[in-house]
Amino acid sequence: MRLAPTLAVFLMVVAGCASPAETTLHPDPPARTYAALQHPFRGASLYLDRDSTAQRYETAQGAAWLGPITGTPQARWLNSAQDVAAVPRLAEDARQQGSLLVLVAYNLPNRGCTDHREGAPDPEAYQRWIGSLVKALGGTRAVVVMEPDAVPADCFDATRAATLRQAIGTLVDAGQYVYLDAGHSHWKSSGETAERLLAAGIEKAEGFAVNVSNRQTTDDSYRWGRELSDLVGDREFVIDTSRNGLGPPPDDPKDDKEWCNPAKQALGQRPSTAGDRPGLAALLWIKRPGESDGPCGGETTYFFAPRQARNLIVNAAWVDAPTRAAAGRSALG
Amino acid sequence: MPALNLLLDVSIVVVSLLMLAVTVTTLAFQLYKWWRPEHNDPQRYGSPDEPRLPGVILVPMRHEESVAGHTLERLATLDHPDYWVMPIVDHPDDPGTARIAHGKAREFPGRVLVCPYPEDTDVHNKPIGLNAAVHRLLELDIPFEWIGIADAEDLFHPDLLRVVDYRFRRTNAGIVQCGVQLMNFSAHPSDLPMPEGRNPRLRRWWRANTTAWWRAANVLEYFKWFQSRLKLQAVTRVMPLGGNTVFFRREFLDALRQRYGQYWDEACLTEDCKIGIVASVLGYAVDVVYLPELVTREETPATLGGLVRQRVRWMQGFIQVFRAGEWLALPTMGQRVLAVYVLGFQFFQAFTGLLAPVALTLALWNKSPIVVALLAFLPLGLSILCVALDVLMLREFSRTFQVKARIRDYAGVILGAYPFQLVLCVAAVWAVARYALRRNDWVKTTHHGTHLPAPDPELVGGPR
Amino acid sequence: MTLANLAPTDVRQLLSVRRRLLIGAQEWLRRHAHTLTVLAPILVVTALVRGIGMSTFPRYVDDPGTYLSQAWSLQYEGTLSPYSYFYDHAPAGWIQIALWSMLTDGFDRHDSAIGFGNECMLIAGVVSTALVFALGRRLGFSRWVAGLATVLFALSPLAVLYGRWTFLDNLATPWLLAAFVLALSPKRSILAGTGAALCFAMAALTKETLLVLLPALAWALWRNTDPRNRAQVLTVAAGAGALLMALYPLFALFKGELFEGPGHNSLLGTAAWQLAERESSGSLLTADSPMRDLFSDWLAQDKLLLLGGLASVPVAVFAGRLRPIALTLVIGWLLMVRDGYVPFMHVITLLPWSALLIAGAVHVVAGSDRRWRVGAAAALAVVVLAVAAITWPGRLAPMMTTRDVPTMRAAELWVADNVPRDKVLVVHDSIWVDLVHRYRFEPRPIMVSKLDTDPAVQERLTRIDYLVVPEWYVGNPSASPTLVEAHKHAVPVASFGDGSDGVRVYRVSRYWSP
Repeated sequence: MRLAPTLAVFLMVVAGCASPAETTLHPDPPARTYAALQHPFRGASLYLDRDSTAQRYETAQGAAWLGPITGTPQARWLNSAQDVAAVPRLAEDARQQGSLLVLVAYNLPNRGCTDHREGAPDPEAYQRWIGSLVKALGGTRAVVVMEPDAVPADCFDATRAATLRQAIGTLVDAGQYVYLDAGHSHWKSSGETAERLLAAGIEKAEGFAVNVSNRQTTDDSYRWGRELSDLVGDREFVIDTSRNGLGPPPDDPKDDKEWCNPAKQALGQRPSTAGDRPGLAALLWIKRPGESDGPCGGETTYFFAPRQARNLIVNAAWVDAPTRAAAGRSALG
Repeated sequence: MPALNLLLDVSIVVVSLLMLAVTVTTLAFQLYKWWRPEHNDPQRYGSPDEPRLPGVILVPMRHEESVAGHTLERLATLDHPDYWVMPIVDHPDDPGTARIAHGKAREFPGRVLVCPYPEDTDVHNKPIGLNAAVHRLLELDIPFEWIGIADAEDLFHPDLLRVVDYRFRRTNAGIVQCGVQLMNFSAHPSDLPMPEGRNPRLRRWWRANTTAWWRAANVLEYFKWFQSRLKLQAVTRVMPLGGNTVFFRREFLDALRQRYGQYWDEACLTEDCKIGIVASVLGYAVDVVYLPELVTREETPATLGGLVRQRVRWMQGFIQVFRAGEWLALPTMGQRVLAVYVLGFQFFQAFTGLLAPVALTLALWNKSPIVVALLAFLPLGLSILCVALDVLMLREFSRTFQVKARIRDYAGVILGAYPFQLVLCVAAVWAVARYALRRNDWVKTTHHGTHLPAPDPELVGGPR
Repeated sequence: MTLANLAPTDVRQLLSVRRRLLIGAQEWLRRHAHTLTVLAPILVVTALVRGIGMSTFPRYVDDPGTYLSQAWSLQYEGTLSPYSYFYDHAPAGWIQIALWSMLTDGFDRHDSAIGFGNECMLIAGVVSTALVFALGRRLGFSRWVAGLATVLFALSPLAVLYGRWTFLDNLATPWLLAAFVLALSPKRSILAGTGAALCFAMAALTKETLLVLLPALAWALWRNTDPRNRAQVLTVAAGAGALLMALYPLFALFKGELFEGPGHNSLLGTAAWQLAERESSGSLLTADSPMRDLFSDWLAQDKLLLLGGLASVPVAVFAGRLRPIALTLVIGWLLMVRDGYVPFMHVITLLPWSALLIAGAVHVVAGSDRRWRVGAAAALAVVVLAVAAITWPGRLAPMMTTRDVPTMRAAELWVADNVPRDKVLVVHDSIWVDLVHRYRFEPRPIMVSKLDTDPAVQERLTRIDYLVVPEWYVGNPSASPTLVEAHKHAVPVASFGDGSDGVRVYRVSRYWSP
């Protein structure tokens, strides 16, 4: 009666003839059990790291217009073994201030899917690196945003899932709060992302992160995060609002330069731990505003670029007008 | 109003089921001859041997000057060694016919014998004449083993009596009914007599073309009745007879008289029907013989009014037979049910044909459930099948009797099918009304002789 | 009335009905004793081979679920389909299923609708088997040759496999065979001819594609009628058959759905689509066409019946009575060559005629009573049976012994145990009735085949909570765009089996709406 089903049925018969069907009454996967949520952001104040490139630039250049960036708590990225060296000091600072430190672990093997030299050389090395991170944090309980883009990336596979699962286990067992990066609302579908998150051990983590380093609007990110949260046992999620003040740049397939250091961008909402929407743990600045997306849009490195910072501030609606004017007038060194 | 709709739906269902039963049985009855190949075997009647049984042919006649001479001549020269022809004429009332009859009696001594219609009654009907004739036979002590009945215009085939004689002996039947066939279905003007008055050709042409639709239907009715319907009824032993070319065994007539005191029921309009039922009650078989070359050829009524009057008489007669309740004495339940069906058939058929489209229209108009509408369609569909079979039947008729059926004749059968049902309905209603008003006199059919092979100008007189 | 006057039939009428029935039955048994000794064991074996293991083999496919849901709808809701009926098939098939269910409480007797459908197919299969025998006898075969045809038809792995699925073709086959049995009636009566036409109309109302076989039936009827009543037999038969067939378009006409128009389904619209726009399966003669793949799949089940039947077509040259049978088979094969759409169960239409023609070859070889010819025929029959005995058991055994529950059935049971009844499910057609009738899901699950094809479903669709469909569905965007979209927002919560046959239960995010 219908073409497609009938054709498919015929394929099924062909397949069925090749090998006897293996059927079982026992479902796979078995029912999942999720760890209890800890809600680390509830009532917490975020740790503000004064030891940043932007801060040093502000101080050195007298660029007071950078205040909206330098005065806002942001995540600290750990991209290599060296980066872990700074952690004990941060942990100590945060503990003394009674504020919550947010770290980003970004050292997965082949993390960009294009170059095996990026990230840890192999899964074992990565686990050792995670171990060193745990040791560096000591008794301090911090939020760890795990591996931006690792889950939605095209090279996600069983090995990567297992690597992440093990790393999450290590961190959670050490009392850390893990938010596994899930990508953003215009990348993979929520269903596919959920499957990957589950494969990567989300049930033990505190939740997942949405929109890291991206510029999707907060509402869209929240909608997508909510959908996803329902599929992964109501895990909570954080949204990176560092640079989404103007929303995503125009999606022009012919010109994806717009995504990399676009001319029109703005700081997003300031971080908030209010968790005033169901499922939402916090709004965070995970990507550090002002840091370049890479060699594009007039930049040559991944480091802090005053021009990017200025663009972000000039367009930010919540920044007061004089500061924005000052930023606009600033002569960049 | 939903209750009303439901009521309508239920009535449609009931009526449709009844109509379905009638159309299916109608089809089954009219197709009996073709149920199986053997039913239509040319050799099914066997080949007659030398005739052995003496007999008499009774010919009731009244105002039949135009055909009487010709008929009696023919009847007197049939191929049988030992039989009498006995015209029954009312001398004071009808001296013309009486003269012809006596003339033929002189012409064929030892063959034709005139029987006077009783003069002690004012009522004129067939049974009285027939009874009088049998008494006359007994008075004159004429030996006979069977009595046949011919109408004044019936031209028996010369071989007919040999077949009847043979069938009586072979089947031991109490009655042999031989085929009667109306012939003049044609719409061709030259098949009709020229009318008198102005523009005769034009009027003849008009008449031929405007009467063909019911003539064809009427002709086919006979074709179906005598070939199929009567045969099935004979097999099931519930048997109304045709009015003429019917032959009774003396043994049966004696049994009839023993039981009822008279041979033919003088108060019944359709004595032929009644006597058939009585034969079944008495356990006598009826043998039906339809051999195309032997059928008695008759003509359709001259006018549509004539047809209606004929049907009114038949239907009224059926009502009488039904009321008389003779059929209640039939041996099995099945036969009694069948008798009711056979007696009511004319009515059922008339109303079914009429109501079939009405039921469907009602069902659609009432927005009845589709199942109801589909059910209501079935009788109509079967009626359409009946029309198709009529077309086939006309083709068969024209082949059998080697008369040409033209396209317009077929068109007449198709287009006339529904109006013909209307006519039958009118007749049915009229019959019921007459019965209710107790008007039981004879509504006679008139004849104008168009069935005769070569119209003799002397005999053709038009309707009287 | 004296006893001497009575015909023999009257004597019998004096006996009580019971006694008459008893005598009638005894007479019948006496007359058919030889037939019964040949046929009865075959029917018993047929019922066993086709019946044992039918609940676990074969896997669930779409169409049975669709037809059973329509039968269920007829019984419990008085409509021809739980969704709007769009004239995909004439409805006689599921009307028969529904009638059987109404008589025997079918949907309650079985723990799954598919199980009830299997029962219907078993009955239809056994009846078809008996009718193959009857038809063989009417073709002039001896009892043993007719028995050979019957065995070939009844036990071919191809026939057993396809005969188990609830397909309309399986229900149409008995009607079609009965039409030929009646058309070849030795009585050559109007009643037999009319019966043949009515049976054929029923076959065509069950599966309308069988109309292409009309020339073969008409030929058989024409050949068998007698000139003395041929015109009447053919007219009445054609009229009765046409009248019964006409009920289908009339149904559409009365509903105002015969002709195409905006906002409603139509018989002619669907027919035009099926005849003209449907994607072709290619020709059997074209390598790599879907038709060829399908055909090789059939051959993998059984070569003997299919190829043997085709090879036996020429015997019709030697036996006039076999010619309409050969024509039936040839039409079936031509449909596969013609480069049009061929449904995957088309093979069902080929099987009985193939079996009859193979037996026909034996019949023709035996010919007269000459000893050497009878010997040759016996040898041919032995060869055919030997090939069957060698190749069939290996195919039949798994069909009868598989104990694994079909994946879709396993998924259904899991859903019944684990999913709240008020969730909105999009499910494979095969389990729809069970979820509605047995497990009482409310709102009713949505049949996946209707998700994107029925405008009324789209209109009312506000949420989807679970998907229970075979894996190949979600990977095939042309099957159902809405399903594919919902799948993007869903996560598997249980899975059964693997590969394209695997079934996964997906839970759709509460915060996604279609």
